[in-house]
Amino acid sequence: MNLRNGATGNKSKMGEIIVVTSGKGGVGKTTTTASLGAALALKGKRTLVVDADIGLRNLDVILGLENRIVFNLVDVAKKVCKPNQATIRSKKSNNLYLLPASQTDEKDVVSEEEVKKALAQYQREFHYILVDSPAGIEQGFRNACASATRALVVTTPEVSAIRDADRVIGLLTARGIEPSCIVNRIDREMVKRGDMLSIEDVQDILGIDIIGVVERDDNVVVAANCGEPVVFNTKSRAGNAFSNIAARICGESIPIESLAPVGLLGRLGRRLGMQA
Amino acid sequence: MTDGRSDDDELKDLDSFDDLVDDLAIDKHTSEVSGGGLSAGDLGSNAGIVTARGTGDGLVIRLDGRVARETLLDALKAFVKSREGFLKGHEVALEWVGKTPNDIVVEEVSRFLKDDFRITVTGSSSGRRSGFLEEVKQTPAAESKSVSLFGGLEAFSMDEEISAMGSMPKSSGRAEAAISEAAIWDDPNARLVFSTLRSGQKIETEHSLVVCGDINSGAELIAGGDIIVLGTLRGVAHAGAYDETGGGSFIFALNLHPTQLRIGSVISRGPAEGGGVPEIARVDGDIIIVEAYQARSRLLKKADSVRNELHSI
Repeated sequence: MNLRNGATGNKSKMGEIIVVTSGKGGVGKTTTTASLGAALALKGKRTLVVDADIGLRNLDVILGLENRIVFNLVDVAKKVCKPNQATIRSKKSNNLYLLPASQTDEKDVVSEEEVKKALAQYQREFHYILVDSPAGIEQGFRNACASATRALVVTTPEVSAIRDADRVIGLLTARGIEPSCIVNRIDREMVKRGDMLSIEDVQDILGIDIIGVVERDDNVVVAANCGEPVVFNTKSRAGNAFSNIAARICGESIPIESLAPVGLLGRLGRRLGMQA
Repeated sequence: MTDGRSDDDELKDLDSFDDLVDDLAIDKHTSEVSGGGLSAGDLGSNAGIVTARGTGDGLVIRLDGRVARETLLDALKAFVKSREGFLKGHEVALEWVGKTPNDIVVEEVSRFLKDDFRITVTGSSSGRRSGFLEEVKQTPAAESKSVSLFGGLEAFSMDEEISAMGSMPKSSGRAEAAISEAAIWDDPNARLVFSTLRSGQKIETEHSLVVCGDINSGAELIAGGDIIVLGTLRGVAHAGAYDETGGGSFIFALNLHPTQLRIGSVISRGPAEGGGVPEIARVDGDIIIVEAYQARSRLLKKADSVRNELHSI
């Protein structure tokens, strides 16, 4: 399928490499990468999600593809196999492919240059390449950023995560990569009670564009264990949030979801056509 | 840590952050700065006459040039003797505060250090900064702790006293029209930074530092002089970093919410509540005082909006 000469005459931009990173571990990078990849695929964009967490791979599990892995990113980087031998097509969407990480190697087994050359081979075939970065700011992070032009910095509304995100943003900016922020696992009730930082607080400290807000949602846990990205569950709030982020990545302008708590009166008010 | 107990015992004994940091051997500066006087008679001790600071190039010994020769040499002797092991055989530079004495005295001090302690003097210069704070403290009105660094009248009367000693040109009669010389401090090497500092970033300078931006938590500012943040200070700021006394340096921020404040060798936690007004922090004795910044105040005013956090470590 030659996507370069689109029938509509619209030459869509190919091969945009976006790194999903955070600094802090466990804030939702892999979930975000998988969900955004799936959401972009559902919009018809050929998407490759790359697991750059060498030695601690997770993206394959989240996508339910762990028993289909033959070759991985390290093999491609070391030219042990051909690029298309290593990518695995998703069960749920024809547009979504996975390039898994190696589980038996360590992060310094490949260099930035090797990763750059490896990913360059995929740029002509995919609209978007999402790279799932490992936690930290060392070689693994640097490899993941190797050819990225854009970054999605995932953070939760917690002081420790924000501080790490701030550090990472500084490092990304120094590399000339443009960062946007995704606030993950926000709990509207806690924000309302003043027990949790609000989106405005996060924006105040980090000072970069917020491209999406994802609320805490049990469906995410269920989806991860089932190996199905949460965006396929249309009833999930988190899933919808990720879909919106994917739309924003494609250039659509969708306002950020507000966290105005919907109480009983609010719901009634909406029903009666009044503002909540 | 230093007294042979196991770490576990130490942890059980600590019930607050204060205890923990007290236990750390933080070298609080001695009484050498608090006090000092103009004449031998006024001096209770040798405090304040001779201090030292470290710079990138070596050790600088600061001497108060206004005191009488014998007093000066006595103070110097006491100072060096208590640090003999550290100083002996090394090179130092001399810095004169308050007043630079004539060459003969400088010669004598150099010879004294060389002959008695084998300390070589590489140079002599005049520096005014820490002298200023002491000048202000010496006026009777400023006896209490409420002394503003930007004082007008107090510094003025000091000025005239110094003029009487013949070291500065006397501005007689027209004193009110002119700005007190003691209120002006030139720092041609001051660094201005037009950027927000993110976590993990650090700016270091031997001079004063002005940042037009925020300092996020995890970022650090280290300055030999003053620190002025035209934004929110959430990280760590260390003013007067190369002078164990702090050299009269202060830290100012539009929104002072630091993780830690350090001036000289005094370290303090940030205050518990964030003040919504611009605030200034400076050393008084061995604690750091934070007060709402008021451009025209001479004394510490106690108002509703003033926040005095005396959390010191």
